[in-house]
Amino acid sequence: MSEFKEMIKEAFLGEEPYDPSPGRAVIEEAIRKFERRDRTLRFLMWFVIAFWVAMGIWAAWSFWRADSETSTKMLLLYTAAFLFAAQAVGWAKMFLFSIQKDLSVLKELKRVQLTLLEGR
Amino acid sequence: MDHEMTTPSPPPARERMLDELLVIRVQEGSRVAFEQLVTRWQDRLWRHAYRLTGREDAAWDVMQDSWMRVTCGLTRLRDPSSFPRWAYTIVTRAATDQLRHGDREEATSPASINVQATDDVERVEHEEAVAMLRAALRELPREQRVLLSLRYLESFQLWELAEILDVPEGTVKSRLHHARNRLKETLERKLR
Repeated sequence: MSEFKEMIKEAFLGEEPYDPSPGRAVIEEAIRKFERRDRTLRFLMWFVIAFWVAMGIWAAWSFWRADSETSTKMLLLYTAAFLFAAQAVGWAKMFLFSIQKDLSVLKELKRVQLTLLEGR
Repeated sequence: MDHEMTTPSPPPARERMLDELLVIRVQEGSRVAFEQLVTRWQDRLWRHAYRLTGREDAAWDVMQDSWMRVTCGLTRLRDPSSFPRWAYTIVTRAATDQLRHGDREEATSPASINVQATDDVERVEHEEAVAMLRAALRELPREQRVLLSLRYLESFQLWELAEILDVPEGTVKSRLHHARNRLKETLERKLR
């Protein structure tokens, strides 16, 4: 970088009257928001999985308890509900695992890059 | 003066890598990583917000708003290495919203410049030059000051600036050119 550009950088540095004291409150508020959001997402994830598991159990139980008076239509409905619920749980797990796997692979790659950089 | 071929030095690779790792850990849901990321970036982003708004309290409001937006959007950030320009884009937009919604006031009077007396003549000359440059920078319009700081202080590339400011790369080039020319004129006027 040319000397003039270095001087522009220097002129900018320390120019603002930065007082970090309100910053802690801003950081804490951001962390609170992050935790709230994280909790909500986890709750939603568990709720969705629990809903489909419950639906699968209900359908299987209803099918099991069906007697001779139960119509064929209802039996088909229980079967379809059970299969769909089982699929939905599978999809949800696959979706979550794929995200986790992507992130862990990416994290390992970055760790290796960082180790290489530091070892240089 | 204006050689666009000499690009500002980018932040150290190790720092970039650490930021990327932190972003990934935040996406995994780590609270500690989020705190570290916010702590590492708050200072730089606040300065950017201050340059855009011209007021300390407004800059803090912008920061609060920006961190909320970061919290909501970070899990959807596909490329962790794009975090710096993404964060600067968010702060720029939050500051623009803040200015649009109301009470834009002129920046408070510039802080007094103290040049400490020292025996080292070269050092004093350098300090004086930097002080003069600082004063000239303060006379630039806000947009030009912000652009110069993003380019020379934060070392963003032209295409990254285009993304942050939401304008074409050609526009960034011409705005930078105008900003440097204006800075040069202001400095010459002061030296006369």
